[in-house]
Amino acid sequence: MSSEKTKASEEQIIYANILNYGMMIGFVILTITFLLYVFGAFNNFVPIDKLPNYWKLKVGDYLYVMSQIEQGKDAEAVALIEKCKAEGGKAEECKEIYEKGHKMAGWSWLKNISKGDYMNFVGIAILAGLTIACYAAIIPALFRKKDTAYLLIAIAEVLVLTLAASGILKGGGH
Amino acid sequence: MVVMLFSAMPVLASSGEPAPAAAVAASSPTATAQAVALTDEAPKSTMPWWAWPLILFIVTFILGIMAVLGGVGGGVLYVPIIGGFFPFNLDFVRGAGLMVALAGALAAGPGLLKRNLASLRLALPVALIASSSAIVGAMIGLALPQNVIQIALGGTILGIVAIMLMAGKSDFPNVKADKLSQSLGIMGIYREESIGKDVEWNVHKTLPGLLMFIIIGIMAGMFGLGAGWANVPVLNLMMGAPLKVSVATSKFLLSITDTSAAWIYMNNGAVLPMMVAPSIIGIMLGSIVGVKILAKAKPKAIKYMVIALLLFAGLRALLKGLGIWK
Repeated sequence: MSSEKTKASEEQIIYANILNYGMMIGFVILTITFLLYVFGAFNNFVPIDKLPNYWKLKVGDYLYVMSQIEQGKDAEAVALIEKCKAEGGKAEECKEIYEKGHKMAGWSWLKNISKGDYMNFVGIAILAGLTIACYAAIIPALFRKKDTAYLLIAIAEVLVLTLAASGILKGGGH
Repeated sequence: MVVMLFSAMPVLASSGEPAPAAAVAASSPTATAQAVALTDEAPKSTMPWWAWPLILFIVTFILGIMAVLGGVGGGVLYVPIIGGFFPFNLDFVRGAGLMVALAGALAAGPGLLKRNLASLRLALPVALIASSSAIVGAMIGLALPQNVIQIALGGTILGIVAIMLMAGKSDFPNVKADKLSQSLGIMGIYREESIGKDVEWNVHKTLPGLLMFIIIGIMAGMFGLGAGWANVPVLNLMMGAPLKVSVATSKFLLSITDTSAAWIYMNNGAVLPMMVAPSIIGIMLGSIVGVKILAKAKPKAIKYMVIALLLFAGLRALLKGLGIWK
C-alpha cells in the first residue's frame, strides 16, 4: 500500500496525466488514419502501389522523387539520381536533387494534409509532440514550488525539443 | 525458426521481378538508360505493396512479445532486424525504430510515473543531456554513408550483446548521495512490493553519470535504437539508483530522448507512415501479449534467444556494411 511518502510529486502526476491522454489520442488517430490510408479512403500523394519502388532510396533521394511525383516525373527523377551517383554529383543539374527534395522536408506535410498518406503525420506529430506539452505543463508547478534548478531544466528542455521539432535543424545530404 | 524467417527476407525482397526504376522508366524513354542502373541497388519485391506492411506488422508483433520476455526495448530489436532483412532504406528503418521506441515509452510512462517507479527528478537532468545529444546523433546518422552506419550499427549491436551477457545488476545499491545530487534533490522513496517495504534511494557519481548520457544520446539518435540497454547500467550500476527505479526511469527517459531524435528524422523526411503505423501497432499488441505470456514463460531461455537474435542481426548489419553479406 502506498503511503504519503511514496506518492509521486504534483508535477509528476501532471506529467503522467497529460502523457496518458495524449498518448491515447495519438494512437487512436494514427490507427484510424492508417486504416483510411491503406483502404484508399482518400487520394494519396504517392500512389500506394508505387511506394515499394521508392522506400529503398536514401531519404534525400526519396524526397526528390516525391517532389517530382505529382508531375509524373518520378522516373526522370530516379534517372537523374542514378546519373548523379555515377558521375559523382558534379553536374549542375544534380543540385536540383537537394534543392527540390529539401522543399519536401520539414513541416511541408501540412500542405498535403488532405492526402491519405500525409494524414498519418497528424498522429505521428501528436506522439512526437506530446513530451513538449508535458514539460510545458509542469513549468507552473515548478515555478510555484520555487524549484529554480528544475524550472530552468524544464524550460531548457522545452526549448531543445521545440528546436528539434521546428525543422530548422537539417541532417543528411548527398 | 525466427532466424530462418529473417534469413528468408532478402530472398523475398529481391527475387526475380523487374527493378522499379526500370519499370517506371519504361514509360519515359529519356530516363530509361540511367534508371535501369537502379536495378542493382533497389531490387523490387515480387509481392504486392500490402504484403510488406502486413509482414512488418506480424514481425513487429513477434518482436513485441520477445522484447517483453527478453527484457529489452522494442527499438533495439527493430532496427537491426528490419534494417537487415526488409527492403526499406536504413534511413526509414531508423526513423521508424525511434517512433517504435518512443511509442513504447509513451505507453509505459504514465503508469511508471504515477506509481513513482520512474522518477521525474532523476529523469529531467539526464533527459536534457540525452535529448540534446540525440539531436546531434540523428543529424550525424542522416549525414553518414549507409555502409558506415551499417558497420557502426553492427558493432553497437554486438556491444549490446556483450553488455547483456556481462553486465551485472544491483537491486538495492546502497550509495551515499554526492553534492550535485543533493543540490538537485535527486532522491526518492518507492514502495517495493516484493519485500513489502518502502525503499529510500539516492544517487552518486552524478556528474560522470550525466556525462555518459552524452554518448548514449548520440548513439540513440544515430541508430534509432532507443537506449534502455545503456540507460539501465548507467543509472543502476554507475549512479546507484535501485534496479526498479533505473528500469522505470530509463523507459520513461526514452520518451524524451527519442522525441528529439524522432523530430529530426521526421523533419528530414525519414518517417514513412507505411512503416511506422504497422510497426507501432504490431509492437504494442505484441507487448500486451508478451506481458501475459511472461507469467508462464521461462525468461532466462527467452533472454538467450533474444541475445542470439541480436547477435545474428548485429553480424548481418556488420557484414552488410562491409559488403560481405549483401
